[in-house]
Amino acid sequence: MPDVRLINVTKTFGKIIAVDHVSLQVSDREYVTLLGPSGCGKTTTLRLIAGLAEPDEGEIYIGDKLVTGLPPEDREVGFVFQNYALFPHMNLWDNTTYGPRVRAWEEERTKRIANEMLGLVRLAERKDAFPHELSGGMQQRAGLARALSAGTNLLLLDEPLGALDARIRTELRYELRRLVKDLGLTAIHVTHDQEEAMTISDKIVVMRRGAIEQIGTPEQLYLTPKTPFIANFIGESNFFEGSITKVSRETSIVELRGGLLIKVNSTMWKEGERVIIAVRPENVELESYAPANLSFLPGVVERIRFMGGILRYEIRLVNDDIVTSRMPIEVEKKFEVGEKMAVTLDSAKIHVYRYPKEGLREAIKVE
Amino acid sequence: MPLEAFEKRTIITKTALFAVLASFLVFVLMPTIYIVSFTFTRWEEIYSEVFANPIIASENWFQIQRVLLFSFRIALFTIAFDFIFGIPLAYLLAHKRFVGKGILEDIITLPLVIPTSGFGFATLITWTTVSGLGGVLGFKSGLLNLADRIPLINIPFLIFAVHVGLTLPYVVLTIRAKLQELDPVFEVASRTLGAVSLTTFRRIVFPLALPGIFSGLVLAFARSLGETGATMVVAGVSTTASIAIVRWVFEFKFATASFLGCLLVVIAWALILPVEILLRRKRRLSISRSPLQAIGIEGQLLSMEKFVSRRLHYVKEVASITVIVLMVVVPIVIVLNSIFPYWFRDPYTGRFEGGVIYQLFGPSNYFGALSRATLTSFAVAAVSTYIAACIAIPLVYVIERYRFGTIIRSILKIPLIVPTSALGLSVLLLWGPRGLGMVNPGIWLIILTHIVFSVPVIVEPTIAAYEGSEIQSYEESARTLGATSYDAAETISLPLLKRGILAGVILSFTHSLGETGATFIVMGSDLTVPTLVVNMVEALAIPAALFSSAYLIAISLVLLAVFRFLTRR
Repeated sequence: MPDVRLINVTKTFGKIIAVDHVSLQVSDREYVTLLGPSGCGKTTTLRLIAGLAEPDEGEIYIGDKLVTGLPPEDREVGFVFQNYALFPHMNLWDNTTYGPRVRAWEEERTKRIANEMLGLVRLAERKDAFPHELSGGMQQRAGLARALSAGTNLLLLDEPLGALDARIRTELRYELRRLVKDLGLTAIHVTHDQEEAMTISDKIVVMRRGAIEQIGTPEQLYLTPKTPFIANFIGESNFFEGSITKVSRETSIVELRGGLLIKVNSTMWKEGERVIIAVRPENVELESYAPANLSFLPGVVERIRFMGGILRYEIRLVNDDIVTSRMPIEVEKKFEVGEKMAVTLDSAKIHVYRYPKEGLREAIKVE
Repeated sequence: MPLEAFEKRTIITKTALFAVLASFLVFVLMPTIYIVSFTFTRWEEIYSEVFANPIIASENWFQIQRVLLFSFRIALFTIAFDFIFGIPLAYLLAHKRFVGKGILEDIITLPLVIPTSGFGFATLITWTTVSGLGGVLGFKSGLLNLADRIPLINIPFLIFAVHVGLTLPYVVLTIRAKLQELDPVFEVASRTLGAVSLTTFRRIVFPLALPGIFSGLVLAFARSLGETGATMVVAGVSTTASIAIVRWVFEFKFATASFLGCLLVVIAWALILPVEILLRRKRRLSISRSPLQAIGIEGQLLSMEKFVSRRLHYVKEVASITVIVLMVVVPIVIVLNSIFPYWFRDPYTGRFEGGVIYQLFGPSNYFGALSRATLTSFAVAAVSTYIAACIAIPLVYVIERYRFGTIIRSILKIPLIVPTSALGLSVLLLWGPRGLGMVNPGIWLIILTHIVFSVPVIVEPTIAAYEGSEIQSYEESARTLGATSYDAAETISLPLLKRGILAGVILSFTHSLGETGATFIVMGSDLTVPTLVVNMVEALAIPAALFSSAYLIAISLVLLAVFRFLTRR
């Protein structure tokens, strides 16, 4: 039985449609991330699940219970806030035991669960400290312990790592996932940081402008992005505008700007259709100069950037398009700025999309 | 800039600063504390009249204690009532959006500017005469009598009603400000952890908002202690401390009056200063364990809170709104409405003599008195507001520019809190025949008195407008472009602040129009409209008082509407 279900949920604020007929299912014990740029509706969706806002349309189920209309205090959902929201006038222990006390649990049970949670987040020795005495990372762990102590099976996290330093962020994200998995909880985590989403989720829901763009595992989203937006938002992609010139049984030919031709493995298009092709930088291979044909696109190296174990090449093709390539530095063939050479694209790794009516720029805009 | 010009500029700035501070000292601060120094310098005189009176021994001192205790009791119960009904209102205004919110805000601000004697009169006829609630509910007489007391606490109902009406704004507005400052995420967190709204209020909002709640209640307490104008109209035979001062001045028992006034001023200072200091320090109260838990009743309290939050959802809001409507709106509506039946004759006896027209134009010729009083009121309001503005506007600049500005701002709250009759007495003693002898009781003394509280009334909205805007950044940009701070103030801030200043000026004008207590002491034979109303009531010329109150309240409402229009944007 899925743990959380949203059916056709809509939320508007005046004229703005924050959540647009969203339907979603989260299974028991899944770690799901709602990912998207600011304003895409992910936080609003989370708040609708928590009961901090009511949908204008649609239904929300937690477990088997229809929770639309129930106030947050009756939904039994744990919520972790971006800025921790630890009660400043109470110490850690009182913050952590707040949930149990407010539900009038017996003293024994309260103490047991609070100690257990504080232990899990490694803050047991600091239980007398007040929030302002703790570091950001500690405060976030404390917020987590507090949400968990209330004894729920569903954990909602609203950009929980957003207020932390980059280093702490990377450490804490693994801890978060480990904790959730160890306790057998279901988690719905909101973030705009795609690296975060990729590393900790079982499933990612990419949202944009109030609607869901794609749902999938990190691999699925990375390897088979369904729209140019996803191809750009998750990881990095090179984009080329072109049109279909020939369709064969297993492949098609796309004509790019300036007459360059390229072979793609998709046969669903008609001749003459305008398309966008996307290919990730790591699938752009560099070869010595060769004249243009279906395999080679000649060009000149414009810039090289050293990024640790990777070299990032920016190459201006003969048709003036710029393509980025990322290659490990151990690769034998190396090029220099200004050198004439050619790139090859692995046709199996090229994604073809219909040319978006709002134009490429708009379609991939992160907003 | 050539050196002489620079030095000249600095001298001008320094002189201007000195002038502003000097005016502040002379026109605002000194009158406020003079009564205290007077008590100390004339101690023998006071001692002999109050404590060791040759005729009545320490009877005067005994009287002083009696009225003080009475005033304290009234103030205490008033703020208890304000606390219970003010908090839901503050909450409503701080967090919820609803149709009519603006109107509710206006209703709550009304008592701050309404003419106090007019308000007192409106309350009087609402509760005690047949033109008020009594008639509305079908009785043949008023709902209550003048001297009726509230059972158990034994306080005259009418006095209680005007005090609640006049102090509720202080409580509601201060608490609202503190609630707005509070990050709503704490309440949200509490609810996600399972606490219902009442529990959340008790364990989270209340402790965190405590400084605001406390300061609101202290302000209300001080205001109640000092309330004069409305109380004069409704008190009947009861005497509060501030009324006692008025009475004793008119009985020429100056020493006794001054001593009491001094006590009240000292109490006002003693209440305000710690609260101001408390508000400046952001130290939070750490409440680790809910104290009720220790007593063991936490469990029952929780279930009670669950029940109330879920079932009796809007009861407290409805109750609070009813209270404020009853105490503020109803009296005003009744008084405005009653002119019509009373216009030609008393509607109940049919006698012409009981009609407004007769009283105004007949033998008593109150119309003449009213016209003169109107002229006096407007003249006083205009002149005192103008002078106060000349002091207040540079003062705002000083407050924002210099570090000691915060002290000045705190001091400026005092004239608004000190009992108005004590303030009047202080001014009378300072400038009048017994003091410097420079001004006799009359219109100029009234003007001097009104300046004292008009300056704070203009300063606060101006500062609010300044701090709530981007003016500081504009000033800074101007200065990086080469303007001196004075230039920046004159060419950038002042024009941008126009609206805030105008709002303050209108507020001050309205407040001055309606001021009763202090004016009563210093007016000599120059009556203002509110003091005329008091006289009319004492002469039992009710229809005339009705007309005058209604007319004054109507003017105040119009001015308040203009003020709201200016500050709403």
